Amino acid sequence: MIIELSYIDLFIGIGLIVIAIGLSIYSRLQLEKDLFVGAVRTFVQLIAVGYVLNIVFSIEAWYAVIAVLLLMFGIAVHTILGRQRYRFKNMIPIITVSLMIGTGLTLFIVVYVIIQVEPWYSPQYVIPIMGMILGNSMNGVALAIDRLSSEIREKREIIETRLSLGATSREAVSDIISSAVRAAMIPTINSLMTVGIVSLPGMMTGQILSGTSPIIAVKYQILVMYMIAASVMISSVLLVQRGYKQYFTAHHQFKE
Amino acid sequence: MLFQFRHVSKKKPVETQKSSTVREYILHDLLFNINAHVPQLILGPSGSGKTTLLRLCNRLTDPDSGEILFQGQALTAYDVIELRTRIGYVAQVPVMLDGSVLSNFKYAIQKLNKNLPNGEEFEEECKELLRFLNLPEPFLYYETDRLSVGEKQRVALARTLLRKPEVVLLDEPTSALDRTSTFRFLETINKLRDEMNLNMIMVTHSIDQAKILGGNGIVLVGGSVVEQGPVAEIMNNPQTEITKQFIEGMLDN
Repeated sequence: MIIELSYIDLFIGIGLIVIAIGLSIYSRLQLEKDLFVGAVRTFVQLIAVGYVLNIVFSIEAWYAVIAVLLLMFGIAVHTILGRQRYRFKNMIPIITVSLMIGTGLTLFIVVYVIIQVEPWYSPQYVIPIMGMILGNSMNGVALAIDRLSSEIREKREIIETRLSLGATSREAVSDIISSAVRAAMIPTINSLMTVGIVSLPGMMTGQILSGTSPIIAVKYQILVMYMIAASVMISSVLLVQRGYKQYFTAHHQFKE
Repeated sequence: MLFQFRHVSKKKPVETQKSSTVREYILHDLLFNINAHVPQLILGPSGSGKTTLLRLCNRLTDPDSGEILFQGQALTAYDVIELRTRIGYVAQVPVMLDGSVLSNFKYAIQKLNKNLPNGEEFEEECKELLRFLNLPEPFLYYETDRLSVGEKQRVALARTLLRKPEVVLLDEPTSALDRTSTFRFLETINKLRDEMNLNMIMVTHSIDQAKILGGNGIVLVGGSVVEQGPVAEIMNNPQTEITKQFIEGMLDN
């Protein structure tokens, strides 16, 4: 059923990148270097992940699965931090806890309540599902923190005006809190709206390519969309609820 | 006694050349009282800590050491939200919230947690206040981004007055006004004091204003009080060389 790709096939695939690099040189876009490095990184990273997963799948041990999850988690937190222009106090624990609850709760519901995986650590399910939830939540959380921090800084005078008019710090930033969560959710909501019409999601395409019936693939994809929405929402709401507090004292004044 | 400042000091972080930050005094060992029913002026050159002093009064910020009493009780003993209801603050640069003047007014009173007047009654009250501050009634329905800075300053004052505070902290409320408007504004302030029996603490650097408003003054230079007493006395008979220089500088303006 499945036509397996050989390394020679992939080597020919490099021709596609060569076309892109050629166009970049021809149009003087100066993207050649980035394209080249990106192509190499894609190759190395994915091959490495493939072999690691292969090992984890063959060990079939709970600790190997947990180790992979923790590694993914660490990389997600690190990536979020790297994208921030501003830092606030306790940023790392707040990101970690928000992501952990958001993705953990969603993973639990999807894998154990809905799909009912046996055994509980079954890597074939747990790892790719966590990957999708975590990847999307990571992007959402990164957008939410960036929006939260930059707006609180930009609107400092408006916030102090509200505080002077008797608002609590929570009330004084309520519009910023919703704008941060909206920023996190917009990509997810857009994909909920257009999935299947404008784009065929990667997971579904992958399943179909590897021989799964489109109906099964579509059902999984629906579940994937819902779990991403839930996880991004939970993570970003938890994050902004904790995050804004880092800017204020208990007496509704800006920390210095 | 409205306010008592007891050895109040406040530091602020200052960036040094070696990209490290040190904390320098912005206010140092303030020791003075502010009486009720007498306007209190805070005088001094820019950068002397006047604004910080006002912000301490409604706890937008807290001192690093020392204590401030409000009506005999430590500021920290009050609930902050209640404190800011009793002590109104009008910042030097008037900040309008999005929307109309009316929605700004509504925001100001919605946090008051008491029986709110119904729509029409409230709008009447707002219009009366606008008239009082020499603003035309239809202003109530204007979007705030249409207003000039001077108009915004008066709307910001009205927004604070609607909350019926016992004390109003005013930070250079006439900084964006021309001479005529300034004079009218000061008349309004005096009217407020007389008719609403409002306690007022005002930052200014203008000698004319200080003379019109009278009351008590403190002169703040480099974060320290260099002189205090009735404004007229400070003006006519400054006790320190630095106050003399400051007053002469004000005269030059």
